[in-house]
Amino acid sequence: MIQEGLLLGLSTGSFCAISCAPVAIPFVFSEKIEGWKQNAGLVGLMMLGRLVAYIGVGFLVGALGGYAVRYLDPEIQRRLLAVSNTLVGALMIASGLMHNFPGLKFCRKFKAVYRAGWGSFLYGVFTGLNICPPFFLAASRVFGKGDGLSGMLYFAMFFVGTSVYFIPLLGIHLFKDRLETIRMVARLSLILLGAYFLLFQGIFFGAAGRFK
Amino acid sequence: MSAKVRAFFPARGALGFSLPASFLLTLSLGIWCYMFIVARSTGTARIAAWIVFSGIMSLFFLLLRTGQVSKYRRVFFVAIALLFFPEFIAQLLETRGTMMLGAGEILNNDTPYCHIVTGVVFLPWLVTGKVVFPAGTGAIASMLIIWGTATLAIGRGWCSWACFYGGWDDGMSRLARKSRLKIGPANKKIRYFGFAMLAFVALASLGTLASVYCDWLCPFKIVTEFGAVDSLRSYAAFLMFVLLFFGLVIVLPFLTRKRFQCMSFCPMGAFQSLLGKLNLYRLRIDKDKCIGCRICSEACPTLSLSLPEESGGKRIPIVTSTCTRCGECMTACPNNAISFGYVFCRGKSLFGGWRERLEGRKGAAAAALRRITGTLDELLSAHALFVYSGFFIGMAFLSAFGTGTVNRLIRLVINGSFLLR
Repeated sequence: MIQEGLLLGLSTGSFCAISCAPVAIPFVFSEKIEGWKQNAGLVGLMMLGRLVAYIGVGFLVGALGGYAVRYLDPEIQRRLLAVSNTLVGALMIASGLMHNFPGLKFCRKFKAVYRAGWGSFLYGVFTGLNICPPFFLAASRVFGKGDGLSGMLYFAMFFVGTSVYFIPLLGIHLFKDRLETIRMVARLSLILLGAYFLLFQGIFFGAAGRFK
Repeated sequence: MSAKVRAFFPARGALGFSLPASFLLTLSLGIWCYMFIVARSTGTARIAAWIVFSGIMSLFFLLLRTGQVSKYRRVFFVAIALLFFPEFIAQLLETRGTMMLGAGEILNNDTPYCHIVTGVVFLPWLVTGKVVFPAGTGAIASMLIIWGTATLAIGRGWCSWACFYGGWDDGMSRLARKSRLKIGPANKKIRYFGFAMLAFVALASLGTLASVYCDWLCPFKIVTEFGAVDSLRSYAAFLMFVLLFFGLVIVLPFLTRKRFQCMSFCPMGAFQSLLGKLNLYRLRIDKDKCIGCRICSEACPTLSLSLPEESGGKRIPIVTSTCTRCGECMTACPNNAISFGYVFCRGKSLFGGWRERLEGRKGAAAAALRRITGTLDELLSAHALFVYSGFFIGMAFLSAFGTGTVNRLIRLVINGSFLLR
């Protein structure tokens, strides 16, 4: 069980990284990072968010057992994904606007409550709920167990396996010579990607039945 | 050469070339141009080929002789864009009967490869090994060979000399005499917006394994080809294409006198900026001649001449990687302080040492040697070779599509039909 989760994560984790890259990369680059410790802290919190999402899903799917078949229903899966994308899109737009237009009233209010650490954690949760093919495969393996704890353990190991592909995020501080320009670009692309997630991967995707 | 003969040709500009150098360079390009455009044509296509050939040669000679890079380059560049699209659309109508892409073409990877998506599909290709664009291997390879060669030859000069889309907003940006919407060179966010666009479309394409730019954001879809408009989603996409074309390619360049699409939206432009250092040429600003008047940075249509922080002395602009080498700053500079240079020898002439040694010597042989080394210096200068390369690559696109459009126009007059079939 432990081995299988780990191996599944290791073998399919590149797909997880591909699915999460549009959110993780611009976010980490957009934050003001002074050195490797701060970078590692932000990436660590994002990973923690992913772990929480994974364990939560693993517990639910494992505990619900046969009922979780409903979770694997493509229509429910699409709606869940649309909600997750809408939320992550909104968060990206808000943090992108806050970085780019700090003088706006909304941005000042958002900045008062925004903390990079919490932002990182939330991004991790949302990307953790992103139902990519490996995630779907892991869930389908767990729902037959009929045991929440086994599901949690399976997803925790799956998380460890997939996390290997996120290691490159720890090297962002190495770009320090160009970091100012990269940060500006990342902050602008946060808004663009946020709008894309919110509209196209979220709202339009959620309403796909009518948007054909 | 006698004064009467000289008077027949336009006067040499401050950045212009001598008559022998201008003739030799034009002759050399003319041979290539003849082989590409004229040699194998027959019938009305031959007349069209000679018209295009004459146009290219005249523009190239005038550019060299007068040194007015931006003026003649723009005429050439806008002509590439205007002559490309009628032929492209006509070919689609003849072979497919419509500008719309069918499911068959997409599934069979049967569409022409568009160079704009090179930067977009690069990341998904790097990670997954798949090209998220419905074109065949042959179409992709041939465009990548042309683009790769052009990148090595002229770097981001591609965006001002060869790209058959860029002529639209380049032309529109010069239609109005004054800008009605002022965008200053200090606006870094607009200058770097293209990189944000590249990051956005590359990452979104990676996440979805589809070309997000082509699906929703390409302003040139409405003048090339687009997916079938038969559902709510496709109507929305088509509306986006129309709005982006008129907004970014027509209205904003006209209002701002800046190349808005190329500067801030085109992912290819940003990708080209990243790869632009691979080529031999750079834009050089002579620090002794520059008076820090900032006219060049105001004139730059892509905001590529950034101004350093105020430090008491004169503020000499810094050429950023987004420079498309259009030559606008050269024309604008009142002191002719800007020119093309090689990356390896800053401002030195290749045969300058020889000429210095010949300086004190008398006699016809020494004078002839001085003249020959002077002409060689001109021929091998970065300025000459850069504009030569730019025209050469642009000419390759004109040979493929420009002649076709002119031929169709001739046939339209003769037969009354723009389509050949």
